[in-house]
Amino acid sequence: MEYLNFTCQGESHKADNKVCQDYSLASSRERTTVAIVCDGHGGNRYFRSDIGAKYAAEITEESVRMFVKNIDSDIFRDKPFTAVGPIKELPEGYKETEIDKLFRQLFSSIIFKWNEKILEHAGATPISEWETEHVEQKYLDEFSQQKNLEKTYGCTLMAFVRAKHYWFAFHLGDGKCIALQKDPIWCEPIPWDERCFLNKTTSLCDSDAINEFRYCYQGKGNYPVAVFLGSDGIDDSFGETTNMVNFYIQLAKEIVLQSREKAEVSLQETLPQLSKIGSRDDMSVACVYDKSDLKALYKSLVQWQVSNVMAAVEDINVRIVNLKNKRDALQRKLISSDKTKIELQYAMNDLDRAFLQKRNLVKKLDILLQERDGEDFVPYSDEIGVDNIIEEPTAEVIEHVADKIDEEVDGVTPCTEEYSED
Amino acid sequence: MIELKPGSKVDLTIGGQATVIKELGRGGQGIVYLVDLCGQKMALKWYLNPLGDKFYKNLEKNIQSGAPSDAFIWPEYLTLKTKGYYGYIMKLRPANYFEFGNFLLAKKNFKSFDAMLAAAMKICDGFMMLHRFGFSYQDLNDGNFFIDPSTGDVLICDNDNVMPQGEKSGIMGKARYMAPEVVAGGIPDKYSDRFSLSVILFMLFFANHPFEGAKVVACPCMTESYEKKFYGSEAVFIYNPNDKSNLPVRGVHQNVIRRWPVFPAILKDNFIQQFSQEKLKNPTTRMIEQEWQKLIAKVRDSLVVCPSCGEETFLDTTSDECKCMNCGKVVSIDRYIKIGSRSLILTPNTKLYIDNDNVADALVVSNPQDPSMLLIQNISGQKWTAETPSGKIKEIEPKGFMPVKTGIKISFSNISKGEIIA
Amino acid sequence: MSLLDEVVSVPRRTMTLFFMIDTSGSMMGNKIGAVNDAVVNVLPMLDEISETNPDAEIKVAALEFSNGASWLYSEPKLASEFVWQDVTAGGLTSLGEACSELNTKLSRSGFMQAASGSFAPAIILLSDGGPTDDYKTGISKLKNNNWFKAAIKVAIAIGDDADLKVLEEFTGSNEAVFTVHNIDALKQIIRVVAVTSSQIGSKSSSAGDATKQDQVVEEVKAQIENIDGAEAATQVDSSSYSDDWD
Repeated sequence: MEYLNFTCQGESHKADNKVCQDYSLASSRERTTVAIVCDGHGGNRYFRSDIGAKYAAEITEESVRMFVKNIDSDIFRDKPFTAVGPIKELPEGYKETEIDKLFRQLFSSIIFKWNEKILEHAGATPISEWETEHVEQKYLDEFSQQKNLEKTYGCTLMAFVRAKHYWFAFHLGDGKCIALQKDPIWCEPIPWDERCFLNKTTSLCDSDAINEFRYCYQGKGNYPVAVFLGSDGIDDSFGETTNMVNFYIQLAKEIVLQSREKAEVSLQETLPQLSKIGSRDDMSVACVYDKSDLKALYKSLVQWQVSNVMAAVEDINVRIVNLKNKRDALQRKLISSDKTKIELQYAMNDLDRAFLQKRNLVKKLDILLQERDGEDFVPYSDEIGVDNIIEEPTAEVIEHVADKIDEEVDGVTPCTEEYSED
Repeated sequence: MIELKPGSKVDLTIGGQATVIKELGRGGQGIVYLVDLCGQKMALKWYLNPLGDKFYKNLEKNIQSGAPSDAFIWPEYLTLKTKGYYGYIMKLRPANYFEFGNFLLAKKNFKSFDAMLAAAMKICDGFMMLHRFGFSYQDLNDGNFFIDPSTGDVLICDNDNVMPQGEKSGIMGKARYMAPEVVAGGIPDKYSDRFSLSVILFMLFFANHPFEGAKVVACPCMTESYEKKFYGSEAVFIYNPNDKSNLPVRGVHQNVIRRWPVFPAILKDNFIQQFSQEKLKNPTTRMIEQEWQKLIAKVRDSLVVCPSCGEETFLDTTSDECKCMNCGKVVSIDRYIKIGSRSLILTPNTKLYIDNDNVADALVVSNPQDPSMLLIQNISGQKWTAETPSGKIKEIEPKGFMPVKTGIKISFSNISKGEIIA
Repeated sequence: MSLLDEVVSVPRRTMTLFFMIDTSGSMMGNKIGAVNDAVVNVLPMLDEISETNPDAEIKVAALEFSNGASWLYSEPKLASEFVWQDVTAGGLTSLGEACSELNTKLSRSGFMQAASGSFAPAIILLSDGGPTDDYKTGISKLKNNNWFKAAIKVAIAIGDDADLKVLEEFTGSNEAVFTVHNIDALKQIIRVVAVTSSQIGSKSSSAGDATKQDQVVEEVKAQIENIDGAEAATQVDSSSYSDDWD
């Protein structure tokens, strides 16, 4: 089993001269591979969250290794994939299984050890100059009285563990865990917690932390081919999850086509750039994969990428046709009010933008098609084209996409600008 | 292993058949089915790994002797054995009762402390009746109790493991609920049941286990040998005043951390006593059910509705000023009924429990004409007689009212008489 | 080699600023004129914030409500491109319908994108009266909407007839309701609120644990001290009430 991980300071933290509050690790020994990502909370109230994240990751590694070593692995034998959401969202009458109890003990132990560790750190590490300067007095006072220490060190926690006979993953807080596998080609194995929304997240420092863990496990012998854990700095940079999956697939392909070392270097180069043009937050990725399985999956991965861009091209085509129709309708209006003029101008601008987007998409698509088809590669083209030619489209073209138009309200899809960084 | 299908019929020892309608749920020992018995819907517990003849005979005997009280969902009919497999029929559990485990995970909450105390009383009563019938419990756990969160009514299920005292059913209970001497290998008896009762009551009030603190969660995996230590030989009460090695843990044991300060000292002191090393090691010194009931009655006497915020609060009448635990305002204790050594504080909406039947007998209300005046409503089924300070005799019919005026003497029944002080 | 080459998409993050404008009959005349004037003037400022902000770009959406509720455009527009069409006043005050309408658009199928990478929206509600429809239903829908819950919500009450209680219910805090008593103050406060919400709303890191809404309220409070005829809801002069209690 192979693994890699990398964490870098976020662009906004560089600007504010703040330390990186993410922490990631990955390791493999005794036939057990572990990947962990922890994200310390931003905001001066959580002024030692970088330490909190580091401790959380280290304690978790130690605890899961002890867990794997000591439990009877038979308890996972033949267990199908099972995902357990946060306690609050479990259905009424849900019966705790023996495995649920095992996990509860593991999580309790992690919280306990983390509490102890931060208490120790707080005792041994007086308030620094930087902290005096930057942190509100009331939080420093609380800290001195050892009140709400856990908040000072607050962070999230996400882990994936692949043992000899089973695997499991758990998560408290935001960030995302993505698994690549045969079918469907990607998934988020750990249930989401609706309490993590926009900049809000559940946390190891919450009073009810034990009930906020979500997890999943499987003991039937099939493992995800690759698992990627990313802090929220990563998924906030990508918006739609498919964009992030696409990114991880690029990383996976690098591993297959080049080497683990090369992929690691790429990651090290990429994450700071991503922070700059994306979320500006700290960035962490930890990954566990099986190289030969990943190799076998390579073609499917490229195919998924092709389909993904293809779907985007279809969407943009629908938008283009809608905008053209709208433009034409507005142009045909005899009495042209101010409103009509404004709407017409919008339609024209949006159309230009849509074509620009399409050109970018087609560029990507061609690269992927080339990768997929090799010598048989034929550049992509369709009836709608990539240039905003003022000529009217033929009736058939409009009909071709007409069925899709009905699904949309007034032909509107929010337009998103894209960056393609060199 | 034989599972039953909808439509299959099972023969009963008393003759006749029950028809399986559908599965209701399954646990470690067996499956519970919804069955039709002569047009009546009942539940059938069907053993998947049936125990030997002794167990079967015991069930038969228990059915003959009948339920100790209405708190028990007792085995009513036994099936004949088919290829060694068998089961028993009992009443269905109404939908408004929820497994105790739901309360521990805070998926269900008592509507009021009043309901919580009613549940505690009912459980004590159930244990008392069970012992009076000469039985003892073998496999006591949170799955045995179903509680109606709005009234606190309790149903005790899974009574197949009830055995005559001194005998062992062969089903091992869960260590969490077993007395230390049973964890160490002893035979359950009424003394060990009394220990279990203390545990159940503690969990009912505080929604955490009395021995589950730092020591228990320090280890990421609970193995049998750890269990034997933490619940047996090395059990330490989390609030043991002389041994703080097992305090509840922030983020894990949040329920007890939040609730412990709320309850009256008499209750907390008693738990400290019951879980002291001395009582853990000397089973015969443990508190009997009737004593628990007296204590809970005292706790209930100190529960009133705060006139300022309308929430329930426990009052410590020995302190100089009684403050509401929710809003912090002073609650006047000037008006009360004296019954023997008891003082029942009178505030609007407070329920009064005069006798020991665990059903409220009186409700204090404001006089609609003059809210500063209080009335007592007779919500019992009995007629009361009252003697005014001038010697007039009044009768208060069920649903009738009487004023709160100093010096009025009330006969609630032949044995309980009280006097109003206002 | 960067993994961002060629086929990876990193969309620009956006923050949407909503104007909800009461265009009922009572707004007729110089009130609605002032609103039109103020919004037109504030748009270039929003564009500037958007341009210079590395965290997110700002889009604008506007909803007017009188007999019904309707969006100026069927999708949010970039602040730089937003062309304000003067709104006219007339009719009732269908705040309930406006809330329902806002609720539909505060979703993935409406104006919002994936929560990952999104910023909570900022919503500015302007009104000079009380709702004439069933606003309770509308507001209760919004109160269950996660985007709304996370949003920066500020209300501007125009004149003494505005129903402060209703505006308070909308924003969830009486401090987030600001009252203006003259046309000039109205123009100024629209500018202050729009600019402040956009500045704070489109920044990714927040200082301390004050919510973005609280930060906006604090900032706006500080700024309106210099505006004659504008007041924060909490700054009510208690002396004006004393007469009734003699």
